[in-house]
Amino acid sequence: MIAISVKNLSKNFEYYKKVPGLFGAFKSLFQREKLITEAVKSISFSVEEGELVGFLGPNGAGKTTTLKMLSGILYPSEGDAKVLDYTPWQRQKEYQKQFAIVMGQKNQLWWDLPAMESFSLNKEIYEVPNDQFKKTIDYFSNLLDISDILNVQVRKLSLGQRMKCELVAALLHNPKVLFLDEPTIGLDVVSQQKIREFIKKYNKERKTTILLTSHYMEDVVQLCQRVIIINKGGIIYDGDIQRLIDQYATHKIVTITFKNDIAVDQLTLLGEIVEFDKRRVVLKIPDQNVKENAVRILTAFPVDDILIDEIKVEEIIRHIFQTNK
Amino acid sequence: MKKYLKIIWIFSKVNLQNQMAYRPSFFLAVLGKATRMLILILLFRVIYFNTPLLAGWEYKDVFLLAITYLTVESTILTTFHRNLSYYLPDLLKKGDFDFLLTKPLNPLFYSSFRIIDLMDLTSSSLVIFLWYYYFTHYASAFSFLSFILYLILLGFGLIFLFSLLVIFASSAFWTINATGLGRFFEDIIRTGRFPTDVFKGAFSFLFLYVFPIATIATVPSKAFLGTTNWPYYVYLVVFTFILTLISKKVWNYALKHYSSASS
Repeated sequence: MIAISVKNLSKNFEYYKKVPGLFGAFKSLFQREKLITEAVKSISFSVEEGELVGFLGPNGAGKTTTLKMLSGILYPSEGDAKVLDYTPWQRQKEYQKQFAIVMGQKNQLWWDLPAMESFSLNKEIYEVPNDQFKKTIDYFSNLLDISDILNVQVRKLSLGQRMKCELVAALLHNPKVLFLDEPTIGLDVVSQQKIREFIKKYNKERKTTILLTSHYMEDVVQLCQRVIIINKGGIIYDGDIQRLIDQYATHKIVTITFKNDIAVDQLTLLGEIVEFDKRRVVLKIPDQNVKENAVRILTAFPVDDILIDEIKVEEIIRHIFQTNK
Repeated sequence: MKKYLKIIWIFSKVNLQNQMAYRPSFFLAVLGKATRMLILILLFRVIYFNTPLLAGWEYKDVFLLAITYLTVESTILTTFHRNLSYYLPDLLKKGDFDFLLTKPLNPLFYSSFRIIDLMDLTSSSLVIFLWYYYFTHYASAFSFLSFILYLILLGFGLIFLFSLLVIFASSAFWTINATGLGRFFEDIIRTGRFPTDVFKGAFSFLFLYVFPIATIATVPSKAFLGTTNWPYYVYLVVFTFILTLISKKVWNYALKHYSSASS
């Protein structure tokens, strides 16, 4: 069953050009030039119930704007979307009780008070029964290891602890759809991993449909089977992450360390030189030539060590963004 | 309704905890508000040292008008005034208004009562003392019906102020910075501290019919003192009803055009 369905969704933002300087500011009181930005351009996709989809794109690609339309924060300029059969921007209470949004760059917990106070407010807003509230808090306390920080002022928590509490606040009403906008942004690697593990487990146990945006490829690679790549407001890839890798990973990265100094011109015929430092070279070699060239390298050069790696997913995505500029 | 009352209780409790966390600021603010109230009473006292009547009002009647005004002011300061004038533009500027739109709660309710300022309520205890003083020193016999009428008219005054402020606050969705409007609103309601009978001609018409700030204190106080004006009350009901509808339309239009802040 389809949980999210988006058809030709577009969003334009109107704004006025700011002329610098005092004179410019004064002039703009009477005469302003209106500009339009196309943040999202006629995108279409659908997400099955229980699916965890990665929504990737560089800054300003339109990821957050799409999530904001799907959560009813923004009205679209054109197009249609249905989430759980509701039109999000109609802001119906029945829909609002079934989804949640977490924005890594924004804080919805009361800053000067313990997170528990914010949880109590959400309990009333979402009309969560007392026993369910207690059970849910216990469940998350164990899963996220936060029982000792529930009564500590939010401003005294670390970023990682705060994000855990943000997730609890958003999930108290057991939403069917969850929008996660950069949930690991700014976190250290250990905290990032904990949040990823939590999202994975939660998705598996509760079958919650999750749309996740992130700048960190690790988030997407570890959590999602499917990715939607968006750039400059349009979708440029929608499908299996492994298919994406197979499609674009046509080369391997070969790193060789030599026993003696080597001249760079001896290596140019073997592949594209990515890095060179007399005793160490990184080559990019087409898949079909890797085996043959590796043998040539081992026989013709004083090799100390050789490593053959797949191209990193980050590289593939960067390549896709660059070729779609 | 029960849900909304519970949420108001949480807002009040949480904000009191917040304010008491900064004790010196809490006590200074209470002292400042108490001083402002006493200055208004003293101002009238000084005026009446020089004249026994002001636009037909005796000192004891103006005392009633002053405490009526202070009651209205305390009520709106405790509840929606700062929320809509100052905190809402701040939420819009930072993009934190996003969360209000995703919750199964009326966004106007959330925006208007998110911060219930119990510090203002504390200082308002002085208003209770002033009411006690009025009843023990100045109040002559008054009818129960006059008192009921007084309360109803106070209610209409509050609805008028709320609707007006919602219209002003809605402009913040486009201008983002609306402190100028907040100050303009404060200036308007402060005019209500004086009996609007002191204004003549065009100003009298303006404050009775176009911008009926007379409803804040003058009209209810007169009803309390036994001077009724039924045709005007009918006008007031119709005016308030239309203004409420307009404010609802403007607010919904503003919500539709909310553009959020970039992340």
